[in-house]
Amino acid sequence: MRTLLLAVLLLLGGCPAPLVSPYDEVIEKGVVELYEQLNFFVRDVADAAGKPEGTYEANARRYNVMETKLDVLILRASSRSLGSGCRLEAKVYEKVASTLGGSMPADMKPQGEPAGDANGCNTRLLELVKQQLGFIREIHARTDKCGTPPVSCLRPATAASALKIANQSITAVSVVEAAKRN
Amino acid sequence: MPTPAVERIFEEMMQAGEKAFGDGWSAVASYAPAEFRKMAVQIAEIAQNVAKYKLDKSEGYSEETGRILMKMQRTAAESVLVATTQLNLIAVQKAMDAMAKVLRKTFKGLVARIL
Repeated sequence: MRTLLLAVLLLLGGCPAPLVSPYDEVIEKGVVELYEQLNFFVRDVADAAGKPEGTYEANARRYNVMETKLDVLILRASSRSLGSGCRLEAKVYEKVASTLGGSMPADMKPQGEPAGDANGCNTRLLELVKQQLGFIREIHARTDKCGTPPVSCLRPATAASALKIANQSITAVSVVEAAKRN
Repeated sequence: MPTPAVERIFEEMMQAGEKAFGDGWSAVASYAPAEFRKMAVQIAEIAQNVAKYKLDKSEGYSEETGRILMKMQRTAAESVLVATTQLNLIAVQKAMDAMAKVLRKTFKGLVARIL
């Protein structure tokens, strides 16, 4: 009995650092607001495709507003992190590394490595949302064209696809925060 | 009605997920499969929209846009994988907290002093 108790105590005592970062209401609420803001914005811009008010130039500042909001959330998450990146399960890390090939982010670490901490993954999830916003901005500014003469726009079909994909990254943040809260 | 391409992509993603997560798969089974299915549908949708644009420039979107959307999908896949790992860890953390609580109750004095 004494050995068993000692083993359990060692087991619990051996993990002093939490496995996941604590629940953060500000991040959960901020991400829900961003979801609403981005979804409204993309639909609004797609409705105006081909018109002057739907061009990238007319909407660049709205991207800046959303980006700034994300920067604030990233700063909040990273201020709690040791700055050593996000630690993934070893097998998952291998899978992600093989999927992403050479573009594996340097701050993604497999579990078991000393680098990486529980708060790093929160930061990473938010950075991925920011990347998605950057991709939508790039399409709007550079690759989508509408009307005659062609002007920059977000085509309705692009808007539909881009929103569904970006929402997956946003949902990932809220699913994790909701799981911590419950 | 899901197309055979969507079903094939989905099955491959599910198998890869199960392999990668092993025993922890059940903890995330309600979140990950739904997200993998969305990815499979979206990948097929991107290909369809690029094909539409080639036939009629007023439909779908260009190959260049399709390429960026595929990059977005790759980023979304990373989000889902990181979230899935986090959900696993949250389950483990909750189990450990519950264990510690039981131990505190059972071995009051001694354990409370150590934990």
